[in-house]
Amino acid sequence: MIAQVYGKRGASAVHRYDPRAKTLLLLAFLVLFFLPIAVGHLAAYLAVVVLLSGAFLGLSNTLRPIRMILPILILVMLLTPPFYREGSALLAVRGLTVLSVSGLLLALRLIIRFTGITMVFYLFIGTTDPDELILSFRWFRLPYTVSLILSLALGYIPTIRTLYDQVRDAHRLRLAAKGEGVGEAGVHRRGRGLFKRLRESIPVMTSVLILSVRRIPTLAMALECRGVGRKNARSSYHTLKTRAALLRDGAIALAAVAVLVISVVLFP
Amino acid sequence: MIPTDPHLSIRNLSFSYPEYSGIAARHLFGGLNLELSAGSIDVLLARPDQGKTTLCRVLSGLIPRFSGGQLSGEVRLGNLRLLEQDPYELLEQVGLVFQHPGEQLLASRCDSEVAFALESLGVPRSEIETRLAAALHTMDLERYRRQSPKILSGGEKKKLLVACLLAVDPRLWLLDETLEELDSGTKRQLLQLLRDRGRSTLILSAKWHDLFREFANRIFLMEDGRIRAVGERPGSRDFQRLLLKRGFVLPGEGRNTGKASLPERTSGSPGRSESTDPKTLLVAEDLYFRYGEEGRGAGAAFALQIDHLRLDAGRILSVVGDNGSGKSTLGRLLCGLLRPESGQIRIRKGEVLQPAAVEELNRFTGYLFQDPDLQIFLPTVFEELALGLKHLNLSMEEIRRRVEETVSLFGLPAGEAPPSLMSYGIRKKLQAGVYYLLERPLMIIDEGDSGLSVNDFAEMIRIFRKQEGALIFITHDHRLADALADEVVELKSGSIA
Repeated sequence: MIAQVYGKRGASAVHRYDPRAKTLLLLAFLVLFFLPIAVGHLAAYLAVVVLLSGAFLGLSNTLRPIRMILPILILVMLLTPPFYREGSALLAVRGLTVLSVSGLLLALRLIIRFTGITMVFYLFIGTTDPDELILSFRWFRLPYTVSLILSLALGYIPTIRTLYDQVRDAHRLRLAAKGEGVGEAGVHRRGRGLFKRLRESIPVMTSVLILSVRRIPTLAMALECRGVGRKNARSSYHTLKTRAALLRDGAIALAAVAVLVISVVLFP
Repeated sequence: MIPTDPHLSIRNLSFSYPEYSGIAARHLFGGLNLELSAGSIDVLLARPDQGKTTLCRVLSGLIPRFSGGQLSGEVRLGNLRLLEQDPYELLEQVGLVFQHPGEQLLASRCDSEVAFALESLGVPRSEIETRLAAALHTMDLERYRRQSPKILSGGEKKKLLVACLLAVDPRLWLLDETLEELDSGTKRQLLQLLRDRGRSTLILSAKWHDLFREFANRIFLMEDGRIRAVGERPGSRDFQRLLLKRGFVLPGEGRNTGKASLPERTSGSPGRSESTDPKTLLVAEDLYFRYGEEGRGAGAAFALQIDHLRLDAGRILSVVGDNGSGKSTLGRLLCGLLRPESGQIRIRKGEVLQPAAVEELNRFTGYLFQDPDLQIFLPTVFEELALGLKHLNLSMEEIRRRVEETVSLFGLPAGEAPPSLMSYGIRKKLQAGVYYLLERPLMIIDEGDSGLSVNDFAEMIRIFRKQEGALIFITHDHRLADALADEVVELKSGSIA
C-alpha cells in the first residue's frame, strides 16, 4: 500500500512538508490517541486525520490501510465487550449482562486508537522520503546507525507489502485448483468469505515471515559492503529543506500542537 | 599503506560451513590457491554449488563474519591482508555484485542506491552528484534516477549494482554471476569498461560466455574445492572440449554453427489454422498491457503489445530480448498474474480454443519466477515438492514416490535437506521440480538459466519436454535459445521484433 504512495511522493503539500515538523506532528498525534479523553472526541480527531489523508493522498489510498486492519478491528469489536460487562447493560439475557455501555465504549476506544495510530503512521511514512527521514532523525541528534535502522524498518513496510503480493501470487499459482485463481493483485476474490481469506493468508504470511528472516543476514552483508560501520564521518547526497522552510513548517506544526492541547483541555 | 597496483593472491584457503542441527558441516574449499594479475579480467568457471558465492563473500570479508564456519589460509590484495579486514573497511578495495540483486539493494531510489557507498566514504555532495550521474549514464539508467529499484527488471537491478561499483570504483571487482540476466550489449559494454579502466576483475560464472574469449585474460575452473587455470588460449580446440565436457557449453556452442542450423525465428504464426489444429494450446491476440505509475514509476512508462502469439503442444518457445524489453511482463500476462488492457488469450478447452479468464490461466500455466526464493518457503526439499501434490488427494505413498522421482530427475539433495542452505542454482532446480510435479499444460521459465550451467539448464528443459505440454523459456542468452528452442521470439521495447 505504502509502496504505491511512495510512487507519488512530492505531489502534495504533505509530501513537501518538512520531515522535522512532520515528526513533531506525528508524536503529538500519537500522544493524543493514547490520552484518556472522551470517545467522541477521539473519534473527531480520527476524522481530522482521515480527512487530511483523503485530501492529500486520495480516497483509495486512505481506505487502503483501513482495509488492511479491518479484520483486526472486527475481532476487537467482537471480543472486547464480552470481557468488559460492568456498568449499565445494553443487552441482557435472563439478568446476565451480555453487552454493556462501558464494554462497547472500550471496544470503540480501542478501534479508534488503533485506526488513528495506523493512519498517522501511514501518512507520515507514505509522504516522507526515506532519505529525508534519516536526515531528519539525525537532525534530532539520533546516531546515524539508529536513524538508518529506523529508516530501514519503516522502509521495509512497503517491501513486505510487495513481498506479500509476490508470495501470494506464487502460492495461488502453485496451488490453483478448480475454482481458484489469483488474477491481478487481489482483484479476483469474489464470493470468498472474510474468514476463508484470513485462513488462506496464514501460509502466505508464514512464507513472508520466513523470507523476511532469511533477509536479515543478507541485508547486514549488503549494508557492510556499502560501508556501514566505518568510523569516518558520513556525507549526505540528500539535503533537508532550507531554514526558512523549517521555520515556516515548524511554526505550523507548533500551532497545530497548540490547537490540539487547547482542544484536549477544553474537551477532555 | 595500500598499493595502487593490487595483485590478488589466495593461498591455501580452506573453509567449511558450521554444523547445523542434523546437518553435517560442509567443507567447500580445501587448500585453494589462486593468483590474479593486476588490472586483468579473469574468469572463474564452476558448476552450481561449488562455492562461487562463498568465495566472493570470503574475499569481501563477509564470510565467516556472517555465516560462522572455519576459515584458514591467506588472501592478499597487494600488501593488504583481506581476511583481517571488516567488509566496510574494504569499500574502496573490493567491490562485490551479489548473484541475487534483490539481496543487495537497500535504498528507495536509484540515485540514493548509487550514492549510499559514497556517503559512507564521506565524499562531498557535489562529487557524489558527479559520480552518480556518470555511473547512471554509463549503465543507461538515468531515466530511473528518482524511481525505486523495486520497479526494475532483474537485469536492470544488476545494472544498478554495477553502477554502484562504478561510482566507488574499487580496486578489485568481484562479479558473482553478474553477466547472467544482462543483455549482450550491456555485457560487452561492462567488460570493455573494466578493461579500459584497468581494474582487476574476477568474474564468477556457471556458464561460458563468448565474450570471455575476447575480454578474459585467464580462465580458471573450480571443482571440488580446488582451482586450476585452464584457458590461456580460450579459442583452442582443447579448451572447447573441456568446456563441453564440464557442461559450460552445449554441443555445437562456441563454434560458428551457421544460421541454417538455428531454429526458426517467428512471431508465433507458422501458418496452420490454429483453431482446428488440436496441438495448439494457447493463442494470444492483440494483447496490450501498460504499467501505470505504480508499476514502473512515473517517467518510466512501459507498454507491451503482442499482436499474435501461438503455442503448440510439445513445442519449445524461447523469448529473448534486452533488459526491460517486456519478457517477464509477457510471462505474467500468459499465466494470468497481469490482466491485459485489451486483447485476449485463448486456451485449449477440450476440442476448441476458448478465451481464458485469468483464473483459468492460473491453472493452465506454471510460471517459474526469476527469483526462486519467492516460490520456495518450506523447511525441507520433501515438504516443498509434496505441497502441490497434497492438493491432488494422492496417497502418501504416491506422493513419496513422485517426490523421490523428481529429486532424482533434477539432481536435488535428499528430501530432508533444507532449501535455505542450498546454493542459488540448486534452489532454481528445486523451483523447477516443484512446477514439474504440477504438470501444467504450459510452463514458463523466467531466466531459469541464471545460476545454472548450460548442461543443467538443458537437462531441465529436456525433463519438461517429456511432459508434452508447451514450454516457454525466457533468457538473455541467444545461443542457448537457438540451441534449445524450436522457435525464438525476440522482444524489443515491448513488441515482437
